[in-house]
Amino acid sequence: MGIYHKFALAKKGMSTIFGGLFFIILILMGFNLMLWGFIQYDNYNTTTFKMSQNDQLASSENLVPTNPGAQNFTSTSFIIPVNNLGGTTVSIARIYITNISPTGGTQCTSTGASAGPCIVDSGAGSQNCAGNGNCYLTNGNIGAGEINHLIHVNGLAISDGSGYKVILSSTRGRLFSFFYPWPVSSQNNGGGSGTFVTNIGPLSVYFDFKSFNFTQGFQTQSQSAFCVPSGTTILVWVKIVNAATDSDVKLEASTMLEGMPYSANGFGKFVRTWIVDPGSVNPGNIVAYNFNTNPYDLPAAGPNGPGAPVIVKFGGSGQGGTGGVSFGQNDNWLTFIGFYYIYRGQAQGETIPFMDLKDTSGYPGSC
Amino acid sequence: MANLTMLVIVVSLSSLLFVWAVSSFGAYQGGAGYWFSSRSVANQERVSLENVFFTGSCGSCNNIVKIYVRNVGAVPVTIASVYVNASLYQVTPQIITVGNVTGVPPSGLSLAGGQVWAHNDIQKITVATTRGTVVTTTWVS
Repeated sequence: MGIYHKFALAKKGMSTIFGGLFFIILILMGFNLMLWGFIQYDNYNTTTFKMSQNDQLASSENLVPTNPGAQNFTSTSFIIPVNNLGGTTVSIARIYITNISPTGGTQCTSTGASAGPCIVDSGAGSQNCAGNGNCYLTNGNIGAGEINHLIHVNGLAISDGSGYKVILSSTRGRLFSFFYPWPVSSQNNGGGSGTFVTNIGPLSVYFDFKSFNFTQGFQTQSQSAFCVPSGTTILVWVKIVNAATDSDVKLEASTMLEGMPYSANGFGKFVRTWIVDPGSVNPGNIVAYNFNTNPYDLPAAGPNGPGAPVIVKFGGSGQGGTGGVSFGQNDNWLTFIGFYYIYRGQAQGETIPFMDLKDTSGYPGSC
Repeated sequence: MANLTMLVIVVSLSSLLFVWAVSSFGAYQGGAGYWFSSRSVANQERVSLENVFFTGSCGSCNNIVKIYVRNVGAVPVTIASVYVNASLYQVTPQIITVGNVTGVPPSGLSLAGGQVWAHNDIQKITVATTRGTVVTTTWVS
């Protein structure tokens, strides 16, 4: 008799066996469901991780267009110099050029050939943006750490005097933009014109013998203030411009200049002077500064660069005061300026290390 | 007889349990599978608002906004709606394949209700896809 036959005739424990079989089947189904869940979750996590990696790569893109923004113009092409300061290669997919100040022409406006922004694509291009054939870019892959990489733009030139906003769009979806002409004019190392400038916040402060001046007595012509007569009351002139494009800058009455002689030993030798009315010309006609009626109001920069420079006069004996300032140590002076101003409707301020000037009793012979 | 009765009871109850388990597991798999697949696909959407151009239907109308959207994700996206400063604009669903860019809508968005944009104002532009991805950017008109 076979084992199966014996088992079938035993009539004992059949229900236990059947119940056990069902139980095992259910357990296996449960395991199967768990396994399926794990696989699904693993796939989901893999996708999330992959996209997260892409996001991190996009975040690490840091392309910095450099002054002057666009260069090497021909009638239908130019070059955009950029630095890749990020951690990954950047590929430029498209460049949008919008004429925001159509003073030199109407290209890249709604009335130009592009009927909208000029669109410069990689490859053969997709838009005849300026009537010179399709606009396209080459050399649009910038390696990590590459400095002064040159992106070639063909089909248009933006050197017609209009103001342009240029947006470089990367294949990962990042945007890098600049304005042309570059908002702050390129400053050389003097080059005979004697212009040096330092930028702080929205302000550009000029550091040169033409921009740092003084008057004494009733002078109407200012002169370089790097050397001043010792013990003489003077009015200090400093040239600044507003490089910000989004707001004017109004100097508050607390803006001041402080000087400390090299030989200073303890307090009491510092010289401090506050801004005075813009109409003040010399110590003889100093008018106290009034923020409400006649403030230093530096206009916002436009697409062609900062507005006209403003000469800020320092000669107040206190905030809102007059009287001029005097340096009387026969020494060199470390100077600092504390700018306090209203920018975009909010108070803001910076202190900058300023000129090194000298006062001498033998002025001007011993300068 | 008792054995047979127990057998019938066990088999019937087990069958009921089996049917319940199959339907429950199936329902769970259906729901979870849908969630995983839909979220997984939605997670792969990335949209970049590359440029917004403010123009008008006439010289000084200032009533058209051209929005350029690029798909920088891993799956095609369908643009379902556009908001300009919280005003909803239903646009014809527009599919953007991976890596491509298009104007949404291609001819530009006409501001409704006599609205116009003003120079140097901040404009908040929001684009939403059918899978729920929302991208908001601000531009100066």
